Amino acid sequence: MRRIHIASLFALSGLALLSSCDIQAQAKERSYGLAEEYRFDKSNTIFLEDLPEGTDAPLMGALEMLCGTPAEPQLMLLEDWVDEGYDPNFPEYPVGDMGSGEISEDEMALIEEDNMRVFAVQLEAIAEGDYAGVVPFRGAPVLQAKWDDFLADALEDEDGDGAPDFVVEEDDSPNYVAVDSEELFREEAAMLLIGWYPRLVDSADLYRLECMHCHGNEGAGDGSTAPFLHPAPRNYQPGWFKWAAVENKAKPRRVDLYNILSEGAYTSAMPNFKRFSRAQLHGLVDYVRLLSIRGETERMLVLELDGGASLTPALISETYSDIWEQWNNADERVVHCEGDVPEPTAELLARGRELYMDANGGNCYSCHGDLGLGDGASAWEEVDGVSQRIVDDWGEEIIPRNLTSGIYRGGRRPIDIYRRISIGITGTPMPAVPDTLTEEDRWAIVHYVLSLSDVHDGVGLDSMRMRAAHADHSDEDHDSEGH
Amino acid sequence: MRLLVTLLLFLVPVLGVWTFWTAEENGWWMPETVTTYGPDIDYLFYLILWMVAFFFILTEGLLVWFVFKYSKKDDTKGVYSHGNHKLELLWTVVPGILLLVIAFSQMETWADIKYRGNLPKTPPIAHVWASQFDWRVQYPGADGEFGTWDDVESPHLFVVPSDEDVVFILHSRDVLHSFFVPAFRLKQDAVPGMAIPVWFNVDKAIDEEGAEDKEAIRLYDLICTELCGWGHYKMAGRVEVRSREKFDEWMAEQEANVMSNGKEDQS
Repeated sequence: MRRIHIASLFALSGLALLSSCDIQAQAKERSYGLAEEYRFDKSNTIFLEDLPEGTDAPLMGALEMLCGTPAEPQLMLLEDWVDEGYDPNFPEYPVGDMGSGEISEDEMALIEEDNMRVFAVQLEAIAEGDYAGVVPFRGAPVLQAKWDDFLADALEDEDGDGAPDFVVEEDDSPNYVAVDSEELFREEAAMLLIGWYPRLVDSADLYRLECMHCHGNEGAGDGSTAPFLHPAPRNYQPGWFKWAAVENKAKPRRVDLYNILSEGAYTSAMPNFKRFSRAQLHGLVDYVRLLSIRGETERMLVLELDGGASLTPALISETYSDIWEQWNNADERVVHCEGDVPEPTAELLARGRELYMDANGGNCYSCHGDLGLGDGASAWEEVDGVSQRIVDDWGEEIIPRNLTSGIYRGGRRPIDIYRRISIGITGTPMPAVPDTLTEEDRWAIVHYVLSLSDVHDGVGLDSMRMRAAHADHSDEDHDSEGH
Repeated sequence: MRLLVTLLLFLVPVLGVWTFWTAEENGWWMPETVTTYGPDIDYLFYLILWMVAFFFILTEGLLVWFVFKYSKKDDTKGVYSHGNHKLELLWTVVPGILLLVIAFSQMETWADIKYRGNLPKTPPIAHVWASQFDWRVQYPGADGEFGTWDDVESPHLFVVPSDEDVVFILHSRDVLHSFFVPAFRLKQDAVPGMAIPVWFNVDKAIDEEGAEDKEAIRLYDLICTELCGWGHYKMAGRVEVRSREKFDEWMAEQEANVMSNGKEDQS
C-alpha cells in the first residue's frame, strides 16, 4: 500500500512539473503593464498611484494602440509614414514599399546565409521530401504557422488519387507564390526558411524565452532574476543605453544594439548571444526598440499628466512621433574621428598620463585612481556622515572600472575606448572629457588607459613566460613527431 | 511478486545495454573525431567501455540471478558465511591487473596531450578566457604581442587554422570552468590564477555526411563541463576551423576592425 502512495506522489509531482513547463502558453495571455515608479532624476520620481484618478486605464489603452501587446506587438504608423510608404514593422522592406529599409541588401544576404546554417536540419528534410521531419522552429511562431499552413495546403488530396497534390493557390496563403508540383513546393518551402526575417511576434516570443527573466516584460529591467544582479539589467524605458557610439543620452543606432546583443557586456550578467542567428538578433533589436519607445512614451505621458495635462490624442501622437524622430536620427549623433588610430609612442603615453592626472584635462584619476585600480576618491560620497558609492541615474551603485583588468564592457577596440572618453557613459557619473581636448589628446588618453592593462592582466607576463619556455625547449633535442 | 521484482531489476542491465547499443543511431554518441590525437582517445575510451560492459553484464546478471534465487522463502534460516579467501583474491587481483593495463596503456596518450614538455613548439595562437558565462578569445593582433593595445577579442567564437598544431593558453577569470570540444576529444579545466597551455591539431575536415572538404568552414561545439554557476547551461561557444588561408583572411578582417576610426562600423 505504501509503495502505491509513493508512486502516486511521484506521478503527481511529475505532472506538476510538466504543467509548470508550459510557460509560453501562459505568457501569451499577458499584456504590458504600467510601471509603478518613474525615476526621472535624483530629485524627481513620480509614482503611478499619485497620478489623477482614472488616468491609468486610458494610458494603458493609448500605449496598446501605439505598440500593441506582447502577444501582438505592432508599431502604430504615423500619418506621414503611410504617405511615404514607411513602416518600421518591416525593416527588411525598402521605404516606399511599406518597410523601413533598415536592413540593407548586403545585410539581408548575410542573414540568408546564416538562415541556411540555422535551418540546415529542416532544409535537408525538405530536400529529401521528409516533411514530417521538419522540426519545429524555436522562437519563431509566425514562421511556424506559415510553414504549417503551407504544408497542409500542399498535402491536400483533392483529386482523390491517394497522393498529395502539391497545389497551393497564391491568394489562398499570402507570402508564397502558387505552386503546382512537388519540385516547386520544395523550392518555395526552402525560400520560406532561407529568406526568413522575424516579425515582432517572433521576436517577442524569443524575448520571453531569453531576455524577459532579466529585462522584464515591459523592458523595465525588472525581470525575476534582476534583484540578484549587479550591475542591474538595463531598463529600456528612459531610452538610455550605456554602450552606444552616439552622444550622451542620444538614442542608439541599430548597430549599437546589435553589437551589445552579439558581444554581450563582458563580465556582467549580459551574455553574448552569438549563438543566435543574425535574423534573430535583428529581430530582438526591433523588439527592444519597440519596448524602449513604448516605455519612453509612457514616461513622457506620465510626466505630462503629473503636470496637469490631459491625455488627448494630439498629445499622445506628438510624444510618440518626437521619440521616433530621435531614434530615426541616431546616425546624426554618432561619435567618430577623422584620422586613423595613431600608434602609441612614448610621448603619446606620457601625454596620456598627464591628461589622466589633470583635473582640467581627462580628470580620470579622480574616480579610476592614480594607478587605474578603480579606487579614486570621487567614486565615493558622504551621505548622512556615511561614506558610500556614488549612484547612477537608475539609482544603482557605480563601481569605476579597474583599468588594469583588461575588461571593457563597451568593447576593447581603441575606437570603443575613444568613444567612452568622448561620450562618457550614458546615465552614469562617467562624464565626457571637456571639448577643449583635441582628437590627439583623446587618443593619448586611450593609449594610456589601454597600456594600464598591458602587464597587470597577466597576459603579458604569461606570454613572456611561454616564450621563455619555448626557448628552453628548443635547446633540447625533443622528438617533435611524437604528437 | 518475486518474479516481478526480479524482472524489474533485470530491466536495469537491459536498458543500460540498450542505451549504448542504440546511442549512435539516436544521435546520443560523440561526434566523429577530427583531431590528430582523437583516435588515441577513442581507443582508450572503447578499451575501458568494453571492459566495463563485460563486468557490468556479468555482475548485473549475477545480481539479478541472486535476487531470484535467494529471495526470502518461508521457514529457511540464513547461512552465516565468513567469505571465501580464493574468491576474494580473485576479485582483487583481476581488477588490479585490469587497472594496471588501463594505467599503462593511457600513459603515452596522456603525456602526448597534457605534458608541457610535449607541447608543440609553436607560439600560442590565442589566450582563451573563461568567465561566468562566456568564452572569450584574445588574439595578439597585428603586432603579434599579447596584452597590447591592438589585441583582437572574439567573444563566443574561437577561430583556428586546420592542419597545424594550435597552442592556446586557457585562463579563468572567476571560478572553475572546463573547456570541452567533443569533436576534438579535448577537455581541460580552466583554473583561476593559472595559465594552462593546451594544444590540438585538426587534421580531418569531416562534415555531417562524413565527407571530407578541406576548404569548408567547420563549426564545432565548445561547452563548459564544470558546473560553474546558475548560467552554466548556457556557457557554450563554438570553435571555427578554417584553412590557413581563410584563417589569415579572417584575422586580417579583425585586425582592420580593431584599427577602425568608427566611420564605417561593422554591424
